[in-house]
Amino acid sequence: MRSRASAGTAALRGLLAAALIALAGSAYAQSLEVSTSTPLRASPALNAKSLATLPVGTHAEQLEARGGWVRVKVGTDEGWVRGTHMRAAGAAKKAAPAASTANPVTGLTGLFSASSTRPTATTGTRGLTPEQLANAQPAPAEVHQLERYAVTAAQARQFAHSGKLTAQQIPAYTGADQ
Amino acid sequence: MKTMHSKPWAAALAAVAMAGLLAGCETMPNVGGAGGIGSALSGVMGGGGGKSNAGLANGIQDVIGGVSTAFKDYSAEEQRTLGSEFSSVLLGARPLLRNDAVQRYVNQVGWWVALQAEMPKDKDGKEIQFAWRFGVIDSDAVNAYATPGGYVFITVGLLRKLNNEAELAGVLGHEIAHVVRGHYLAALKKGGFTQIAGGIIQARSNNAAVSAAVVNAVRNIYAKGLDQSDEFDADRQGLLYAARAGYRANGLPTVLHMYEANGSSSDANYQLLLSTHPAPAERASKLEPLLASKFASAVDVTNEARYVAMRKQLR
Repeated sequence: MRSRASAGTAALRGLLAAALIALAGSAYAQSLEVSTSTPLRASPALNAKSLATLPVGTHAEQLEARGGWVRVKVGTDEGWVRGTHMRAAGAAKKAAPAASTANPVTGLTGLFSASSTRPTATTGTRGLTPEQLANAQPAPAEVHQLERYAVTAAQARQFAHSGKLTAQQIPAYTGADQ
Repeated sequence: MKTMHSKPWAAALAAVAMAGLLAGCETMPNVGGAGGIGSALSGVMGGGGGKSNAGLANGIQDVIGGVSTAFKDYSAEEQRTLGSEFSSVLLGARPLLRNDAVQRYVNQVGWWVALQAEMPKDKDGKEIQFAWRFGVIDSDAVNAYATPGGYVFITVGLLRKLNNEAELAGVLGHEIAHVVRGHYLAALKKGGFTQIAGGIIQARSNNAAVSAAVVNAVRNIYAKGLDQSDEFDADRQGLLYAARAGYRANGLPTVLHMYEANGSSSDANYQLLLSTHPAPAERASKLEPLLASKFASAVDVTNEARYVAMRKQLR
């Protein structure tokens, strides 16, 4: 029995390796890390049993993705995590420190988290779903923040110039353009 | 709610606002529904009373001409105030990405594209000079939207999916078109939110009753989306603005094909985008003939290298 089981495991590993190699060329990295501390669950549902809590930076191999959930292998454990709580491994190395997910004005982090009573998760903490929109409260501090990033028309022209962009004279549409 | 009763006029305004919301509930489901393009176009004709007998041809003529009676209702300053309030609610759903380099990059591309658009005139016949503000929203969702007055937003999730600056220019051009062609103002009017807009402008949102009404109006408009005809119009204009800006013209069509290939209504990250826009394949198919004719001789700059350098900063 033991040898059959390990042969099966080896075959599975072989398949997995083949799958990873096949996917290596795609834009979606299969080597992930946790971007927001998240539970590792037994099945892809928010009320499924939590097997462990994965801290930020935990490395995981993606095995499967389904409806916003990703099945991952973490060390010897396997389970499901929300895809929105994961990022490609190494993606954050040069990024600025993670901003708080809490709205700085309302502090309503919890409001935007998925409900733990619903098995079908449509809301990740970094998503922007109709439900999140329906719960949105004004955040005037964010509008002020937006002003800090503003540029002028002159800066935009300079940026275009350095990108070898020149304005093209193309007339507006007429009834003849279909 | 206590403050509502402290001032009689505020309570009255709230009542008007509620009436507007109810009217909105009745009229909005028609958008893009079984009514088809004819009824969708009637909204463009000026508020969509449903009694417009102007035919399809006239509707299309209005779209082509960029006629928006909604602009006659607001000054540039009033549009700005509306935009600031709308942005506040939208950014309440998800905050801005905290990355100066990425934010400034998108602002520079956006403003350059916006410089290529014909500016509308306000109610006094004066050309509006928008103080454009582009914001990257820290969300994995794939989407972009705008507000009246020159605010445009794009998500981190969409930036990750784009391949070059020409594609970004196409997406931002589409949003810029919604602003300069008054599509959100038309949606306010069609949704019955005109009184709320007046309330914002009068009260500068210092009143709780007004704020609650504004929040509800914004939630309603962005959850329901714009007229489908306005989305097709914004696609055509976005294509034009990006090409005028000197980018390879097929940026926006490429993005639409990406939505078609990747987008699934069961994927939460595409849910809002797909529910508020016509089918990506249909949108792309309407642009293809233009690529082969009007934009056939356009230039071929994509600035892929600097786009990819920016994209590497997104986690």
